[in-house]
Amino acid sequence: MNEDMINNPRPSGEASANCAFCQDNLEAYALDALEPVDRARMARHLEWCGPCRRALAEIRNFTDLLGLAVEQVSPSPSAKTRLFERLAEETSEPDEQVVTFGNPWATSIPLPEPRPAAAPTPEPAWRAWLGTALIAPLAIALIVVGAWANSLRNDVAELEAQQESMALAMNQGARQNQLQLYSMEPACPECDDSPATGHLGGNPDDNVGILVAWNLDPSQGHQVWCENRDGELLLVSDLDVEQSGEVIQALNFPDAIGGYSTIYVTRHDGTEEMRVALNESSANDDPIEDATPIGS
Amino acid sequence: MPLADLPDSDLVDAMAAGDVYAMEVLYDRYNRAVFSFAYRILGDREVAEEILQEVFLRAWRSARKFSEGRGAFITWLLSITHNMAIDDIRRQNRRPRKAESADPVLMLTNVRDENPSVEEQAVLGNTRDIIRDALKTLPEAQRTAIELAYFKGLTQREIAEALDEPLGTIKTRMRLAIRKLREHLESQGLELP
Repeated sequence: MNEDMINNPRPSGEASANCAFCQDNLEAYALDALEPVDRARMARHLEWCGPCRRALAEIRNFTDLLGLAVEQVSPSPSAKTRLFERLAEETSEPDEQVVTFGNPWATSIPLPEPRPAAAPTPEPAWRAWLGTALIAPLAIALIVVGAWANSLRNDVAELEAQQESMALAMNQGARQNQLQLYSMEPACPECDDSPATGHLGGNPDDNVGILVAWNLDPSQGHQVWCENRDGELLLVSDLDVEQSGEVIQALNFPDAIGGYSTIYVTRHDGTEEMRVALNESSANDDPIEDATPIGS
Repeated sequence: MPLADLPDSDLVDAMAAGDVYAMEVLYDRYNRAVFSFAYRILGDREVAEEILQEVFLRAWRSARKFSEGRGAFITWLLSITHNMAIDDIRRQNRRPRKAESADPVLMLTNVRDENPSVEEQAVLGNTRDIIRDALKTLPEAQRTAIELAYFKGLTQREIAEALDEPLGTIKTRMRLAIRKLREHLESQGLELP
């Protein structure tokens, strides 16, 4: 163990074990040859462990160059034409500057300021829809009960039945209030400026949730993982991210959502993109995210 | 100084500022490296050309981010290429066509490049030779483990099953191979463009 690792600020006995695991698997991680569970475990460790992250970066300086060793062949000439046509389409938005230097593309391609990777895009309409969708069952139940109550207001006997139904509706409402909306936050704002964000909605006592997220990188595969209180990571599902970087997807968790300490959205290489910590007792040191009951 | 003579770092800065010509120079410099790598993984020219386009579009969009982070542009491009190509393989649940029938040992050692450009040769020629020489120093079993992982997208467990070897053996081979490669490349004073 090197000096950096001894001085690792992580105040946990878990740190050295994770560093040992990480050091044993750095090469395989750099080659993307780990099983998904181990990849996620590595990614979680690398997120906070500077020494291991630096060690990985040094290895990647070499592994990333392996691609140069292959036999060199040329793409078709049309590949370049198609690329710059796509670039022209992408940059041909109104009120943007046109480059002025003397080159073949200057006269035909209007150039915007390059789009920053972290630039937030407008929130999609379905974000509002999610809240509406979750509130709707409660609202409908209350409206139905209200109408029913109105029609029976002169009948004492039936009023008692109405009161009973109201109680039932309120009970259902309470259950609906168990629906919670958890904000997913960037896994590592210091080391990864991914603009991805999103919410997970669901009843903590149920194993079904809805994930809505946007600004994910559509060129990468994404997965949802959950971590139970024993620190075990379980794959929940692959995510079908739209080209726009948005995703809305129902998720079936192995067990009730509230039983997990953390839920992660990871990239294909196992690095975390977003997470939500659900329980304070989690091994994770991150603060608990807002768990705002819908409609409260 | 003409743009074509500028180092990668200056060209990426220019690209981040919206200079399409800088992007073109970088494309001319590295399109074959990116395409060849994607083609090696996917075994499909058409899909490899799609990856080539996506890699450079992503470089264009993220140039400012790269500019801030620094590092070698070519390793960044190859890293994006690898992620996209392996992702494509895993998403489609398919394996590269060409790699199925090819001898893994020969893939990285007995290679013959077609028509390298003068500029590409000047920028990458020496680096490429050093990496190929380094690979030749590896025992065949270690080189095969790297080939199957990095170019075919197999996990260590899948490699162990494919080669009918214990998982621990594959892990050890992979670790030793990368460490040897690193030692060799460092001893050769590899300098990235």
